[in-house]
Amino acid sequence: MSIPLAELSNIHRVFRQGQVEVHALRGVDLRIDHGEFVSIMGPSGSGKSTLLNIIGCLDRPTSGRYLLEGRDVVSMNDSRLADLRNRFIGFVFQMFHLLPKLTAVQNVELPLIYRGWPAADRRRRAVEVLQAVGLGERLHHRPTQMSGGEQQRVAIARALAGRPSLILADEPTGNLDSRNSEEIMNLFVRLNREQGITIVQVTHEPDMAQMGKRIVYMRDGCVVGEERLS
Amino acid sequence: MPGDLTPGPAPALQPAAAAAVDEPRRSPLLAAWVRFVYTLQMAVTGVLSQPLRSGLTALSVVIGVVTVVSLIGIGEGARRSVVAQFASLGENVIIIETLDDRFQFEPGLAEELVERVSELAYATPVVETEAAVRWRRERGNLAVLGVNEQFPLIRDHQLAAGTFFSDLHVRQRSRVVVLGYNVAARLLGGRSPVGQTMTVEGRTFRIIGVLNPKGTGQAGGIDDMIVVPYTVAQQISGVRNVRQIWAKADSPEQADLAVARLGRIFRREVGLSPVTGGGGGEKPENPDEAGGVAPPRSTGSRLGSAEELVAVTSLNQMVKEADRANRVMTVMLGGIAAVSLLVGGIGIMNIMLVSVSERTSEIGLRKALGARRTDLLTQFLAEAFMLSVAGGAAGLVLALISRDVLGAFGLQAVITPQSALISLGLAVAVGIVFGVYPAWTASDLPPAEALRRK
Ligand SMILES: Nc1ncnc2c1ncn2[C@@H]1O[C@H](COP(=O)(O)OP(=O)(O)OP(=O)(O)O)[C@@H](O)[C@H]1O
Ligand SMILES: [Mg+2]
Repeated sequence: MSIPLAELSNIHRVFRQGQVEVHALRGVDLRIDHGEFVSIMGPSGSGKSTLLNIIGCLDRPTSGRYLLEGRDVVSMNDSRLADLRNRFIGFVFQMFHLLPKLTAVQNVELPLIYRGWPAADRRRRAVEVLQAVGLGERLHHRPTQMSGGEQQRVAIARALAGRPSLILADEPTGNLDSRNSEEIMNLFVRLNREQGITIVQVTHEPDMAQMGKRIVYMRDGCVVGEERLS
Repeated sequence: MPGDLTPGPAPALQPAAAAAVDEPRRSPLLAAWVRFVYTLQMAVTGVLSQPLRSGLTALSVVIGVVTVVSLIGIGEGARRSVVAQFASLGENVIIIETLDDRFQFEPGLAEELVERVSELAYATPVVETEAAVRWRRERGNLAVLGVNEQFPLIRDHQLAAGTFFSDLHVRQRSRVVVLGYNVAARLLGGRSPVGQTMTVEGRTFRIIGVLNPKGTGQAGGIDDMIVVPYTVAQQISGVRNVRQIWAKADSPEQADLAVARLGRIFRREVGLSPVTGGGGGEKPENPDEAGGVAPPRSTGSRLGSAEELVAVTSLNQMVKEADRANRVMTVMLGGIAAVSLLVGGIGIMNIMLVSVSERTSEIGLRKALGARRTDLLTQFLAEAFMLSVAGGAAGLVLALISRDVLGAFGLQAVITPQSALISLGLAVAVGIVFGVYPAWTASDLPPAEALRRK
């Protein structure tokens, strides 16, 4: 068997707010292989976002082991993690998180800037991915001039720009109507199927979860079940 | 509808492999440069996109720099004018004067002191009086200075025309006069008066020279006086004894020694000759005091000690003291001003904190996409740097303007390149120091945490 893309063992995450401690994750074990399409489901507050943030190296576990492609990320310093995120991981958020003052192209260019690409190269690549997600006509629009579905596709283009191996999406359709949600999910399915990009998403909607290959159920900071889809 | 997704092999997680897909090999130096340039662009955008806020931040620096430069300038201006004033009086000059009107010097004391105090090179008795003067049809009153032939050497006077009077003129009470520069200019309209005559107190004097100007208000207004042999001035004023003797040493060290020696002489031998009672035929009220030739200490009279009767002052010393006092004042003024610069720094920090906390989620997003801590630090520091440099430069311009405004009100402020550079440097340092803290906190947040904030 090849090494898994991500391997988490006994991950704990405790948030401390003054005197109060919140145990968001209580010993999560999870293995994600290359080419998977995983949907994480569970009630609000069960730790789904916390887990996704740890997988995406946006947050560090309080304790536990996390190997990304066999490498121990917990011990890496912040700037190595930044480079790792920049090269391997694309993020899609529920709130899109586009920078409002930048155009679609400028938003998509962001990860390439931090990779050090010269302006002409990153512009070409940004236009290319925007066209790929069907926004060739919206290159120079600002987020406020676009619909929610369009904004989320810009965010996906941004996630794709750096050719990541892994896309992490936290409720990517949470703010979209059903038609737009379906389009976004179809895009994920194709990315997963045609480019082999591993996708991990958090969703509340069973329909969306069904489009992936595996569902992981969480409750109270623990993984409580799994379902493999045909 | 999504169009064609770029075909290609599944990217592997290895960075090199991922890069191999379509990424040409780029030097890490170029990459660092791209990031740096972009970061600076973001800083510029950040400053320009909030003009009001940026303006207010810079304003606090402007005020700080204007105060620092102006206050240091005022202190420096005061120092320079005092130093210039003293310098025009002549170097290594020692002034010996009586402090009590009833006790005056024999004019011969000047010569005696030069003999007794080897450190003294020259000395002149000084008679100051006033005289009615007539030249052709002009008439008026002029201040008259009576001195001996050593006066130009003592007070560093050069002659614009003619010569100064000689030892012989002094001894023979010759009616010769040397004109102050303004007097010559006013009376004669620029033509050389040397060789002509003028009337002083009804007697005819030969004009033998004109002094070079010392500047208005400088050197006791010598430009507006006429100078005659002191023996002649005694006749004009009707006063035999003098209240002042001006002496000169050859070097600052000798001046110091001479001052000490003179002090001892006047302390111990005050009865020998220097202080004599009742000048100008004034009747002393009290026979006890009239015998001012006696050493006051030994008689225990109410006259007090010799130090209270005779003052020996070195101009060097006065220049030094005035200079030191002024330096202290300059430093103090600068210190007060620096506080306002500090306030400016706190202003910067405040605004940087606000701007950082407003952009926390942007900071989180940028970190998620691969921005390193150094990128964010650079961005915020560049913003603080630009604001403080802009504020500092504007402050310098304003300080130059305010210098001219102060000058119009008669307050001389001097802006030296050093004080300008120092305050500009301070402004930038303050901007960076106070900009660091917000930038540090902002770049320290884990991206997950930063992204949660709105
Ligand atoms: N930064 C934080 N500080 C304190 N508590 C936190 C923090 N992040 C998450 N939590 C807490 O940890 C628990 C899990 O949060 P998390 O966001 O992972 O839940 P979730 O499953 O994503 O919920 P939802 O479906 O509502 O998004 C919650 O109780 C939450 O309040
Ligand atoms: Mg969540």
